[in-house]
Amino acid sequence: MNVVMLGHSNAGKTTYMASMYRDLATQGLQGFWVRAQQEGDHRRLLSMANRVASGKYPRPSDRRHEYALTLRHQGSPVIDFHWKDHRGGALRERSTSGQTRELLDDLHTADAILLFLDAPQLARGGRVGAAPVRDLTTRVAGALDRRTDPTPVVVLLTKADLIDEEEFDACMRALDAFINAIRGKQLAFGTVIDVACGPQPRNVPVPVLFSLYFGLRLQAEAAHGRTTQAALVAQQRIAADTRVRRILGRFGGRRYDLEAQLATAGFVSEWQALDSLVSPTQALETMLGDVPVF
Amino acid sequence: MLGGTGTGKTTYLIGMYAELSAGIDNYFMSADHDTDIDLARAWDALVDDGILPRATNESKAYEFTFRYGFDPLLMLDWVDYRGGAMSETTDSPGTAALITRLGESDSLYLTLDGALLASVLAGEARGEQRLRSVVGRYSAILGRVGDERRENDLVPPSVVVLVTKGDLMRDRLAGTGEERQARITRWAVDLFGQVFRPDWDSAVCVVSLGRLGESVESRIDPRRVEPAGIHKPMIFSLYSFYRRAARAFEAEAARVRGIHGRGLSELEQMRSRVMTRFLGHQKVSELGQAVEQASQYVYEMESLAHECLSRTSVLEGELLDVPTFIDGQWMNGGQ
Repeated sequence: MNVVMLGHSNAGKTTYMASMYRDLATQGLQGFWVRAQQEGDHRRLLSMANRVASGKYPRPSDRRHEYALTLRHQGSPVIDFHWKDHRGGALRERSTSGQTRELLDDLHTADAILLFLDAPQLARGGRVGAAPVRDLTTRVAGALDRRTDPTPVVVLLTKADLIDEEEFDACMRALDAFINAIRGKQLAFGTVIDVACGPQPRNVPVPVLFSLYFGLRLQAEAAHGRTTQAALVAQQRIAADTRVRRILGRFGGRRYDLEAQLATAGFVSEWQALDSLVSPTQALETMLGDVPVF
Repeated sequence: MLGGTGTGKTTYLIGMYAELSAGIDNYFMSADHDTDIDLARAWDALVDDGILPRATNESKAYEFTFRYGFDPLLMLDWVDYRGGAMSETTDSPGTAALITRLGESDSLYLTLDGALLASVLAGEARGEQRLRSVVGRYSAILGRVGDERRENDLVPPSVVVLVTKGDLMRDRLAGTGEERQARITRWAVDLFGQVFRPDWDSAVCVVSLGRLGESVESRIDPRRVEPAGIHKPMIFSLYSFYRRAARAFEAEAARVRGIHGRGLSELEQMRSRVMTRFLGHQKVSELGQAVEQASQYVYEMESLAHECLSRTSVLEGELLDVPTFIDGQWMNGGQ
């Protein structure tokens, strides 16, 4: 699963990435954990997150970073995902820039899109507040064309600890047009989450878990399809495995009993794979039950 | 989009894109990444530093996607013609190419410099001479476009008489907003009489990017940028497009309904004859399928017509203050 972060410079993408990782790699949440597949990434992210926790925020990214991560539930790996962090400036450069080209390619192949908006800036309104929303709206519109699978689009209002309730409402009003557009788009599922990293974190794990829930659900549905198919095949093979056929089969070089065994084993394997997805999917669904979706 | 140099075509384009790309009433306009960057930068330069776009030295083509929400509705092929193209003789190769292009367009924007029109309405004789000279060139081209469309049995394009620099109208003309609009509309009809005909959908849209004044410099005071009505011309173009599409679908449904009716009648006759039922059952079956397909096709055409009409209803709501000339009648404050 590919997860892309989109947002202007200083919107908080890298800070969020690090804080999210620290929370889910060191404390977990209701049995869910995240772990980098590369040890170097693990150390780098934790180091960044520790600095954030003490109020030292990372500088804006100067290039694209991609992290290979795994979501685990109750100790077992559940889903692998690639997390892509782009330089904020790439959003506002022409596609002749290699980094912009990478950003656009990642956006079009993303299974989940996380949009970062600086909440205090957005709440101020005016052109400065509205311009980032416009930029992200046009990018997302193109990215959602020709989609065939459900795509979560998460708007993160970052630095939310710096705004009050009235300012939060102002942010939501600024997002009206975008929210309505997502609401009307088939296969797009959106949510807005106010997030704060740093000394007083808020809602940090929610955006990533919301995104991964969709990936998990898709995998579970595919596994369900394969299990159903395998059950059908197994039923057919078992039904065909009669004493008469076994005898006749010996002459034709066919082993109906073996075929039945293999098909049954195949079904059991698919069933186990499905079973391993059901529990975490249901757990995430319960955990995210209060998250408003549009 | 047609207009002389300095009429404000490009400024209008970047302002219109800025507004519609952010979304108005769940309508959005988008472009490919690089076009979006270029237009956004030009808009930023205007609203942050007051820098007006340079005069268009060459015609530029843009491709836009017009969306309802994030669902694509139409692909728009937008051509911003270089101002100088209107100064060439009517038989020049450039003009011939222009006419060909216009002949393929669904909507034409005739840009009138609001500063020039304001001077005419304020009674300046020299202004009127200049205005009619400019319009004369448009009229010749429009006449040829209309003729070619008629010869090819095509519906004429919708036309927007786009009056730019609407702030100057407010500043220089007395009366209420409605009175000013009525005077402007009368002038538009006088200048472009040929586009206000029963078979053309036309509108007169006054747009403004703010109280920018009559600037001859390439810079304006950015604090005065405040777009007004800038999306209405595009809404009108779409309204006309959907209105005509609805009619086309209705006409097609009516045509096939006739065929379906005749087919059904023939089928019933065949089924009522015993010998035909037995000996010609293949033919009966094929005719039955054809009738069924025709029925399905009629349903689809009617559904499409209905959808287009729904969209026109929504778009109509945005045009209540725009004088439009539809089916030979003025709406919304026209004459």
